[in-house]
Amino acid sequence: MNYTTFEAEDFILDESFQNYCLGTQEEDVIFWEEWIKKNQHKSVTVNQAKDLYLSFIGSHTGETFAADRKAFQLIAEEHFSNETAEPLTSQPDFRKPPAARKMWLYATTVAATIAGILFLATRKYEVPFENHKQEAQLKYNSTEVSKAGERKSIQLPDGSKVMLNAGSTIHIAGDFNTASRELTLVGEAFFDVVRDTGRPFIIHTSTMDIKVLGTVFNVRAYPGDKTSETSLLKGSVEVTVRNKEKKKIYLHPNEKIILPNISDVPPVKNSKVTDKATATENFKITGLTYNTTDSTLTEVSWTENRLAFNDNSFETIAAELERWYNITISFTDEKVKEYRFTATFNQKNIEQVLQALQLSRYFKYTIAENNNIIISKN
Amino acid sequence: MLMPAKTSHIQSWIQLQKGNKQALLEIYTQHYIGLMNYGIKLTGRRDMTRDCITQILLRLWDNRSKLPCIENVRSYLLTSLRRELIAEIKMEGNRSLKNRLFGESIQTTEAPYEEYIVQLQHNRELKEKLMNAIGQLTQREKELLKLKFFEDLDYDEIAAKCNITKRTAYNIIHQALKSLRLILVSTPPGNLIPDYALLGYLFFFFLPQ
Repeated sequence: MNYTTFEAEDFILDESFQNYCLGTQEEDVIFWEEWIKKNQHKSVTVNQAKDLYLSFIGSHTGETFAADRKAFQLIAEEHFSNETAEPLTSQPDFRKPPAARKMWLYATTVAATIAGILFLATRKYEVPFENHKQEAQLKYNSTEVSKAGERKSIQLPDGSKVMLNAGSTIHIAGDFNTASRELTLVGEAFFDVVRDTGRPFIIHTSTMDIKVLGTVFNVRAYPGDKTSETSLLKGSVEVTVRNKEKKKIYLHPNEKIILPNISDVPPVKNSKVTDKATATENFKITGLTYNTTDSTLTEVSWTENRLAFNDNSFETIAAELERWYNITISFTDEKVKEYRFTATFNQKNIEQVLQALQLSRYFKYTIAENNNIIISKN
Repeated sequence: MLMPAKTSHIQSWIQLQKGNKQALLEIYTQHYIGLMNYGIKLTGRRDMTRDCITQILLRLWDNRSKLPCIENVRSYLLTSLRRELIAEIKMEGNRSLKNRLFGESIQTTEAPYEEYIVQLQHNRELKEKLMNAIGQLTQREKELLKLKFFEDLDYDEIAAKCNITKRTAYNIIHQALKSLRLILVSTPPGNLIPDYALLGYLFFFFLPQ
């Protein structure tokens, strides 16, 4: 076809040209890039046609399309590999896997690794792992504690990454990485687990056990809080509620499970659980919460050093501030505890935070000794 | 060139039924614009739309042996996506989010196509020029541009929807693009519309209609 006589409207209506603009067909991209090189005098027309076409289709660009399609491809590949991985887990004898299966496992591991790298590059909430330069290596049979006001990045012996939020403890068993990868968490942590179908990764908290193969998710299990949560960003997890029935729940990406906390005791399998078991029946599964302004996720904004609240009570927010800033907060008025706020703070000090909250709904605060803040109605 | 895109859509669908993994990616590519625009316009949420499209396609894969033989792949997918998005919105327990969602969807669905695409355009100069140029098209022309590019329909579907022939559909769209080009060329570069006028124009479109 003689494209040299084409005007912008003719380019726009040419299917091959459309494929080039959004990058949907590799051969069209190659063809048009070559053609443009050879026909420099048409570059104004071509650029105009491209701009107009991309505008008309709703301002999608080659970059956004490529990123979305790549993400889809990786998720689909993971999905395909889970399909074939299923018989593997139900059939424990794989001391000598057939060569083809070995290859397949290798391929999926590579895919998962690429997914992980891409994830690092494309998802904002992954960045903290890169920012935290002092990444501790956690050894077998050891405990890592982050104090109030402190956040830590840890690498586990299997290569999985954990980011510990303030006031949290993680304990890793001595036999970690043998038959399974098990650890205990009190507090909040963000996990990026390396895929290993043979060794399930299990996290024990006081209200639930979370079993995964390889995924990205956040677990929040502070003993002082009213509820515990597991939020899934990618992959799949199996949550076992610690009650009589040991109910199993599967989460999908962008879902979270919320469980009422049964007691303040650390996650030890104790006999007292039975009489409180009914409380854990009331679990709830909801979607994750997007920040209204920039559509980042509230559940994991802490990993980016951002404090985010979404329609939370002042009481809940105060508990978070106490851990975040290593302070104590006391209320002199019960009603103030019930005030609700939605806010995101990026690297602000405690006074800036309180002052911003005051603008939304007024309260009075006094900073007393020993970093104790007293909040009253007026 | 009046190439019916549908044939390739049906071919990929049949391949999917047969269990061809590559066909799933082809379907994603073929319906990307149509599905994304539909979902974003409905919910105002790009990420949610993208994730829901992924979900419905993976479900198609899981049910590939039970899939019906269909004539219009796009409308089948649009219906699935709509259901998925509604389910997703219902699942979001958060009240403020719901309010925001419905608030936005009202705003975006009420904005006419030309306003909507201008709003999405980040390039300021092009934005101003486009606003001026599209304003000079007829209602019919704007409608057909929307069906062709934003909804990503083929000429068969446009012809059926508007009760015209394929040739007429093509001609109207071609003529609309030509008029646009001529207006854009005759528009001097630089600030055509002063800033305050731009703001006023935008404001006008946001008024409830």
